[in-house]
Amino acid sequence: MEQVVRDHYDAVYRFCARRIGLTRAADVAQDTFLTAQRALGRFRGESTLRTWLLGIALNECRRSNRRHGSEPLPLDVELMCPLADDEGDLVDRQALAAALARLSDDHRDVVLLHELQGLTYEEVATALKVPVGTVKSRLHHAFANLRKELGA
Amino acid sequence: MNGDLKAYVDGELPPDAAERLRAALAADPALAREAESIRRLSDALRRLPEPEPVGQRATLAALARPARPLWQVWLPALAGCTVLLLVLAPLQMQAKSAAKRTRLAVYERPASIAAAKSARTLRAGQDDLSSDGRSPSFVDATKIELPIVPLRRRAEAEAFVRSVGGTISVDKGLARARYPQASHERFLEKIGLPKSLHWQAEGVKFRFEG
Repeated sequence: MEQVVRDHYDAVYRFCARRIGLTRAADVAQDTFLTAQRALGRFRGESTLRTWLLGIALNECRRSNRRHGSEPLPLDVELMCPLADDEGDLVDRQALAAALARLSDDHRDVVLLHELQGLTYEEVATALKVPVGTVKSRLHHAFANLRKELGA
Repeated sequence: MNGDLKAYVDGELPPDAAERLRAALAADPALAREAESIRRLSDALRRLPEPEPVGQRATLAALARPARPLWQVWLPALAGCTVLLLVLAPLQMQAKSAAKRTRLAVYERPASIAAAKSARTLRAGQDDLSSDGRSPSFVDATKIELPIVPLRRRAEAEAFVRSVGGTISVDKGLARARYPQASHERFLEKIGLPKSLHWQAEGVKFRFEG
């Protein structure tokens, strides 16, 4: 289990941070691995370990929001990494982070899992326990909303 | 068809559908521009700076502990972790969550043996403190072993912490200040905390009261 943490903690933390904010991200990341430890016996390899963990993380995020109420999500100014602007970066990062935070939970989940975590549509569907078609449709609408907000 | 464009850009269309769309893109510049816009947005999302993960050590420690009752598992065990607590909006506290947070403070464990020692040291040194109410005193030992700072010094504490680039969050009187170690002594002096209070987990914890 220790190796599981070493391999996947960063990804789980980053997902939680984007999903519920920095304040509770570490707590929920820890809850994710505690839950995973108890459930490890039931994991049969139907998906990748990363996909399975992110599915658990998502549930823990929702549970945390139910307990504590949703918080405004962090904008990039509050992240601890410096921003180095790329030449020809046509999309304003601040605006993008803000638009991402304003998406509905469903839309944000698919964007976080597919775009930021790099899961395939199939894997996102497994993590969310929805059909692939739903993932495809949600991504389409999420992007439409983001582009509308950004005027892109 | 619209959902297909995004799926195509993501490489998630089956081969024949992808081929049809490729042909359509070649024939329709507007559609090609839209595909390009989707691709740019995807790239931009992937390039968003990611938060620096914290708390891995605490998680490993939590996993190594023997299984505990569920209510203990649910408390945020941030021992040794350097999570920054940002209070982004005033928290709407209901009685239930207020009670929960009090339990939190009561059952919070010292981050290390050093902290536990320091807490015991603080209590042992109580006779060194004046009883004029202006110095920090200690909470009933049955509650929590955090030093107390008078509430009227809160503004000063916050101003100082921010001036050295740190942060401070206060929740129902429980304060967590985080600042560079170099500022530790000055901070203790500034708000009247005992010199024996250790800088740990990037700062200190105490209570505002009065």
